[in-house]
Amino acid sequence: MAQYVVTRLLQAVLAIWAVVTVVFVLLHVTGDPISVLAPETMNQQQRAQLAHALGLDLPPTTQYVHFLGDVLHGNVGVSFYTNQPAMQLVLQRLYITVELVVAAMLVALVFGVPFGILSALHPGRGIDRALRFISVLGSSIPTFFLGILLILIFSVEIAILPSSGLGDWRNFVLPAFTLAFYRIALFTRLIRSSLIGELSQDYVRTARAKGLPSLVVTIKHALRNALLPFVTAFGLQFGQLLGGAVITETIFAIPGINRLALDAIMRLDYPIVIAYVIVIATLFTLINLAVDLTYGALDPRVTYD
Amino acid sequence: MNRTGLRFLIAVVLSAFVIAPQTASSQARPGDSASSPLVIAYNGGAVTLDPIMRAENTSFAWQRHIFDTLTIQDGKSGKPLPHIVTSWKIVGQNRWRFELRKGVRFQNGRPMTAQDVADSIVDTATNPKAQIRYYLTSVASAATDGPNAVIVTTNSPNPLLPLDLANVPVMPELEIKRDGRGFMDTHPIGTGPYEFVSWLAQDHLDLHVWSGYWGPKPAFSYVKLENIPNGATRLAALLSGQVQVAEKIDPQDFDRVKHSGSAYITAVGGVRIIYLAMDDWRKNDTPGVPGGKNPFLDPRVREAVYKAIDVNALKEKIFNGAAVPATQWTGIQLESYDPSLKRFPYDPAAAKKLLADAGYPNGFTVRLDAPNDRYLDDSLVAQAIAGMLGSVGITVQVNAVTKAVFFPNMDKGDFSMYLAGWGPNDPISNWSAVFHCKDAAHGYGVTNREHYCNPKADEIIARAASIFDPTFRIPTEREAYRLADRRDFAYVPLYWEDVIAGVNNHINWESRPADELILAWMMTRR
Repeated sequence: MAQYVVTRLLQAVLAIWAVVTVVFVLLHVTGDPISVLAPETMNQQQRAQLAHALGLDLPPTTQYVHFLGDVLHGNVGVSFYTNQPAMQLVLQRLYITVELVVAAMLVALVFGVPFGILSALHPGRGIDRALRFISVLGSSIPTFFLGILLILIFSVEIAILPSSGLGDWRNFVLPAFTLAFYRIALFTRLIRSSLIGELSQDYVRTARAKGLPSLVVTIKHALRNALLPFVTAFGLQFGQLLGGAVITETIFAIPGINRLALDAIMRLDYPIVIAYVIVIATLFTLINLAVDLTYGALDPRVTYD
Repeated sequence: MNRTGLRFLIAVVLSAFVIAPQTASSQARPGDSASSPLVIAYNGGAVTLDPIMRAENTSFAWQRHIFDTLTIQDGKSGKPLPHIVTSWKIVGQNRWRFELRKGVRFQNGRPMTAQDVADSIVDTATNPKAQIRYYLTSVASAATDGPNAVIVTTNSPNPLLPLDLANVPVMPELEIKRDGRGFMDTHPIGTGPYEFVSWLAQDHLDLHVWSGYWGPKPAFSYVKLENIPNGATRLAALLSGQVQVAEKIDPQDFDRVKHSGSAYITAVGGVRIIYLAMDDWRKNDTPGVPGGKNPFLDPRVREAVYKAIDVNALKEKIFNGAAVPATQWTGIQLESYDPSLKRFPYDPAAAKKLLADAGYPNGFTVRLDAPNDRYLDDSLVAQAIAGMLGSVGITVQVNAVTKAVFFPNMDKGDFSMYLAGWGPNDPISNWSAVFHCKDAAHGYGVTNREHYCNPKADEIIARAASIFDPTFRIPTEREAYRLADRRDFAYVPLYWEDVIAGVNNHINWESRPADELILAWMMTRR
């Protein structure tokens, strides 16, 4: 297993290098940062001096070689705009996004899994139909709409939660729920369908025949097997949210990593974009690895040779 | 199992309501305590607090709570007023003497010296990374003249130097020389009314009133400046009382604010012009017209475009009244505004005739480029204009894109016709940048992307630039602008954009169109 983990990590380094190189090339073909950075009225000489000060007057290949050298020394450069180390800026925002995403995934877990179980235990009944309706709603309401709707209801009309910004845990309630709603729907459907499949298996009938309580049969025996597809989806959603919560971060004015990256892309602030890509690619790889390792914990038949 | 399931569901639903304690915990007046600061929501946040690095209003607005500038603009007319500099006079060929305010201290307690001021000017003018250095292109040197004055020498006559100094912050040059300028971003020290407490770039800045400030004590002791990029969220934050001032409220939401009973709108315009520009140089390869033949070389076509646009309809339908139809480039609030110029009336019949006279009886097709996130409702305006031009036979395809794509393409000259805005500082530098015949060697026409060129008008402006007495200079400036506006139709003026904010009823604030800044230290309680 240790060898498996090491191999996976080495592959991850290669993947990250490839992604960063692609992003570096894409950034350089999409535009000249000086045209965004310099005010309209700056003259040519001042522009040239600015480009020189930022190292943007060098040929792209030279810039790439310098860049790779810097990365090997653990340095992706300083932001063109703030003169602060780009990685530091990205990591400063990362924890905010991680907090938000963990909160959202917890909400999704707390609601999605029980909803899925309830639905599976009573297929076709009223509660199942109600939960399936919520599922459809969750997968079809766009995030920006749900976010604004929640703000209008909970911040403006009944005024019990803040609408935006950072503060304490209350600031995370609306954005976490906004992000979670789709995931609640997804997890409900996933758990429901795989649990219904498991509940019709012979081993479940055997367990019931042995006289085990219904809850033990469902939770301990059937659910454990039904969780495999859910774990995959959970890991994917987690990684996707880390790099994809930009709309929610914008609506709720949360200074997360994705808004930082979006602004950086708009300004062609290369160092921040590169630092962001490195961080997100690394996290995604680690989450995938964690998911693969969880399979083994859930299903003893999975081996890591 | 049924009952177990039901209990489970009830538990889950109840847990949703546990997470909802009341927020109305403190009833302290905003601005009186750290836990209840005055909160201002901006549409964007400072990228850096180092006040010379970024030429962008969202950065200026935050920085200018901590840093004083040498002069300050009047909020409406834009005229330079004394601030750190208390008076000025010309003392020789291209030499100015600026008297400095006494008793000014930096927030670390050190008294400000004339050397700090002279070095701040030189730093701003020469630091290669200083984006605002273009304001001081005319400055050759700055030196102290005794303990309370500086002498500034310019390369050429510049009657508008005191206005340029409204952009120059007083920086603790001694500390910058000693410690490097990194601290200017992490814990900046200025001479302004508020001292830095903490911040997160582009997100929020916490400030506390500085006890050693030379000027009147601000009404609000604790201030939080926040970036809320989404307009609907900004409005919700204002209506719920979470913020006391919110920048850029959409005109469509004015009634919601007015009817809320808790806030009002301040909308003042007359400075930033929104206009249409048209290719004035390429004959057969203009990029936005199929086939490349450029119809805009004929001034009659540009006049037709002018007369085919109903600006009053834009004002009422899109801006809910919050815009001023523009008669000229120079804003109605500014000193050089020419009251004798009236707007040509909306006249589609005349527009059609002009097009026919110019050889386009059946009109033509053109792409109209516009940003969709830079000016108030910019892409909506572009769509409306497309409809209006369509009714006189000009088929317009609107290409509205994000500003990060729009502006670089505009700089490259990729457009035949585009919608843009300009927040002018003074008529002479505006002319050199926007209307002067292109002359890269001397830095003229840097933003004259349409290659408009009228050497006679350039001569008039050159003459105006050497006249120090405004009573003579201003008529000369107007003369040049009349040529661009009226004879050449160098561009089509649309409207002067209003600077808009929503303000809580307990606070006095009026928008400042001249610099578009929202400043907590100028606000008072009602």
